[in-house]
Amino acid sequence: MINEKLNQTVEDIIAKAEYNPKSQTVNYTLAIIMGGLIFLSFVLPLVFGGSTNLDYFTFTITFIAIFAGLSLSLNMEVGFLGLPNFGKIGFIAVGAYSYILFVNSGVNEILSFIFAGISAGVFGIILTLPSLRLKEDYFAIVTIVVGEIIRETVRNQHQLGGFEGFAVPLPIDRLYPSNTTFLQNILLNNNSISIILITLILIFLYFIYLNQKYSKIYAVPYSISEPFVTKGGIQEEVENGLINFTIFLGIIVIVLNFFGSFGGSPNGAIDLSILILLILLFFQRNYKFALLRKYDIHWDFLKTIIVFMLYIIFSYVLGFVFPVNSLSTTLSNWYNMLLAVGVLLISYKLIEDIVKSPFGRTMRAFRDDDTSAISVGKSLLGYRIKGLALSNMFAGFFGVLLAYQVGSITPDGYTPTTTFTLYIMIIVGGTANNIGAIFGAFLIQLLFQAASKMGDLQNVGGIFAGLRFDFVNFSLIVVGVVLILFLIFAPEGIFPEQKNQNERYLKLLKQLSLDTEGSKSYLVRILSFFMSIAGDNSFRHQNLRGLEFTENTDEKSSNYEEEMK
Amino acid sequence: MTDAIDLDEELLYPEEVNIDQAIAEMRKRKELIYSLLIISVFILVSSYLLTVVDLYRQNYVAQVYFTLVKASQFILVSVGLTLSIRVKKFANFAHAELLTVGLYTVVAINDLNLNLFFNNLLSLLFFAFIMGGLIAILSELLVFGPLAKRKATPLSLMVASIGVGLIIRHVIQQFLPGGGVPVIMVLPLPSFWLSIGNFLLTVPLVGSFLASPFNDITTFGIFGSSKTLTVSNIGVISILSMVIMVLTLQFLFKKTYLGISMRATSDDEDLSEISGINTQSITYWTWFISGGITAFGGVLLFSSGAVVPFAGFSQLLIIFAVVILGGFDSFEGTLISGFIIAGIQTLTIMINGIIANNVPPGSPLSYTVFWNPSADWSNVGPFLMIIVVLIFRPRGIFGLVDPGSKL
Repeated sequence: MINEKLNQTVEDIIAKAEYNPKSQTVNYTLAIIMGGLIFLSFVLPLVFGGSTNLDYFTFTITFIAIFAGLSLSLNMEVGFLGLPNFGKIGFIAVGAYSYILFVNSGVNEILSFIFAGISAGVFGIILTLPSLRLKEDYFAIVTIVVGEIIRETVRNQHQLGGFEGFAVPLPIDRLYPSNTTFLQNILLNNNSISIILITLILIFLYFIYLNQKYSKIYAVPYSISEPFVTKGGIQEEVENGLINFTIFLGIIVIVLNFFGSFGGSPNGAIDLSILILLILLFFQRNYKFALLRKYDIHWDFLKTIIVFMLYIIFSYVLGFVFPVNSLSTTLSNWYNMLLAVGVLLISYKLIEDIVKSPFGRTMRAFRDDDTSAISVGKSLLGYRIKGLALSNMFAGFFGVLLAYQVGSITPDGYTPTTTFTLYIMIIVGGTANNIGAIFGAFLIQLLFQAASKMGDLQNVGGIFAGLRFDFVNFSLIVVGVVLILFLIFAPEGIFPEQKNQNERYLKLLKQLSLDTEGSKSYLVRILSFFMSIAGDNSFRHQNLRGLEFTENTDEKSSNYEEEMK
Repeated sequence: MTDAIDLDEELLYPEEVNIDQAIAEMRKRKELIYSLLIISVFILVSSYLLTVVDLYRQNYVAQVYFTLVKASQFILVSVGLTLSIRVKKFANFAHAELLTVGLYTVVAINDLNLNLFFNNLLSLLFFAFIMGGLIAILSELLVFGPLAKRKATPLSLMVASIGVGLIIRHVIQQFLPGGGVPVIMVLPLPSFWLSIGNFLLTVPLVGSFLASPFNDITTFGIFGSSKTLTVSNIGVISILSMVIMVLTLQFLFKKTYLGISMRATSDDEDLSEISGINTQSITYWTWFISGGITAFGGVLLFSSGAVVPFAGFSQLLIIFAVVILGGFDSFEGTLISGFIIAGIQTLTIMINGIIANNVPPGSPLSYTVFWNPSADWSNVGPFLMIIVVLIFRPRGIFGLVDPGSKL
């Protein structure tokens, strides 16, 4: 009887781990239909809107980046920690307000930016307390109420800005008058390039030092690259660590530039080029997109430099070829976009690493079954405190970025509707999947921006002028319908949660269920057939929880059955 | 071996409610009801005395009347949520939109310029009831039913209800008269209504009291004070309809087949299906009644002032405050907590007003949080109440099962 039960659970686990093509096709069909329609609506204003407006792009990209970051942060709570925080907007408001209060009291902008994240994180720690006593839906209501209380308090307090709120000046505007054009800026000097080059060289030297030290010692845990994605041997780990470091520092340099911390004049074109380069490198490194696959690290570095120089030349040419008026977008918009995308990349990396680390695994264990996670000796309170503090720290950072983009901080900008929008993003994209959260934010922000652009065009003229149709409102209806369709037909979203397939464990499970009699699953039978043909004996040398599988498998497993009986 | 398994299951699924516990709980309820009665009598007497004494130049009797009106409107609006939570077991965020549905039914009928037979208070309330019920059934038919069939978690039902709310709100904004701009909702009184009022005024002694639901404004003097209590007909109608609604629901749940099978379905759906109840139709009836009462109450709640598509949404958290304080799925709890929440709201406004009038602007007190004269704290009191209740007594006033986490 025990055997049957065991078999059943084993088969369940295997079936869960197996790829399920049917549900996946539903997801992708929905995604393709929706994505196509949304892209069409995004292109519409460009086709009928008369002049191509670069601001439309920069604004859209900035909003996508900011909301992607926010939905990443929400996804960490809902998807991985299992706490439905419906008061996300409260934390965004805490971040934005603490930033502006620090700035107004004379603190440096970049310090205030960091403090904003920290204060939102501390606020997250406070929120852990009710979560220990309440079930999911009750916790959701408490958080939504907390968000509303923050808004009402701020609105009623003239010390906190009151009803009118604060205007948020961009730090970059202090260095430049806002009417500086793209071209003018390119002709100014370029300090950021030298700083980034120096950083790259320093990292290169550091890598050479590390490579000499560690390349010959295999199987030694390598501390520097640990926080980064690791696949393959130590060599690749070091490479990954290096490139990721470069990306990190490059983005940080851009961020510092944004806040004018170097005192020099930042250069829009060069920073744009660096950003594009960094994004390319980022995806190339982590997803093996690009042509460069297995390579020598020195050659890779050389290529990096070459691509980098090409982009700088390209951006200079871009600046000279286009007349000033065609690139009507102002410098601050460019910088806002760069900052938002840069911070998004860093946060994506950090959150992805957190989720894949043992810490993330424990978070997921608490989400799935907190009783068993506690029984293994993990502290529920500790993990919730850490998880909520971390995720809300990101929410605070992106709250400041949102305030930059909107240009002001008013209490009525922080209504629960934004939280609901974030929920729609992560449900459509896929809960407990970071790429999904970003993709959901991308789709829905694209739709919103297209709708608001069409609404603007109604006032200006052109094909939309005669139309009495509220596009922004209609986009919200569309989003509601899409949300419900996804919840009913594809509840796991476009990108479902990646099941962590522990190959060794799965093989062991398969082995167990193959050897025990009474297995009814065709899947298991077919698998056993193919495994016997392939002569797969690898599991026989593994140790798992004290059970030793030797060459004589049948004997051992029958022993195991007897033990269980 | 079987013993070990049984032990495991016992650990995983502990018994939820003990009968002794339940009896003790009932006894506590009775004590609570008596103490609440005593408190309400105390509040009535003390408000009269304070008005006579003229403390801080406030009319406390009028405040008590406003609280009563607000409370009955809150109860009308939130009883539907309690009902739907009892049967469907999730927090329906789209509930507040049913209120908007009621409001815009009235606006649409106003807009049609029909004759006074359709366009009067009574038939408008009736149409709002029907429309709210139908929209609630539609949401069950299209969204919550299919989701429940797919064994959705309460969280995904909750998110789906957010989507439903979004759709209802913005469809109203897109397609109905008024749309995004505020509209004035008109509730004309039928002609016989006024004549009844005029007739009742002739009754000696209690004439103006009896006529108060029929006349636009009735003014009562307060014995021993120069202040007066002004009563509007909508206020009295809300109190009366709350009382009628409570009595009707009481009758429905205790005596009729529909109500009894509703209770059975909410307790155990499978078991009631086995015993021959059509749970599907019971669910639809529950949605109809809950949506109808909500839309009805919404019209009364927003009877004065302009109507916007966000009107219902703005009351969402107050409704949740009432329901949570009452115990989430307890009918009597919602009744009592409606009064408590309305009282807290009145108190916050009143205390803020008193302090703003009596604290000189230069003093250090005037810089602290609650002493801002232009502040509107009417929502913060109930919101804080939600948090306090959920942290210190998560089951609310009357909830039986502790909704704590697994710890």
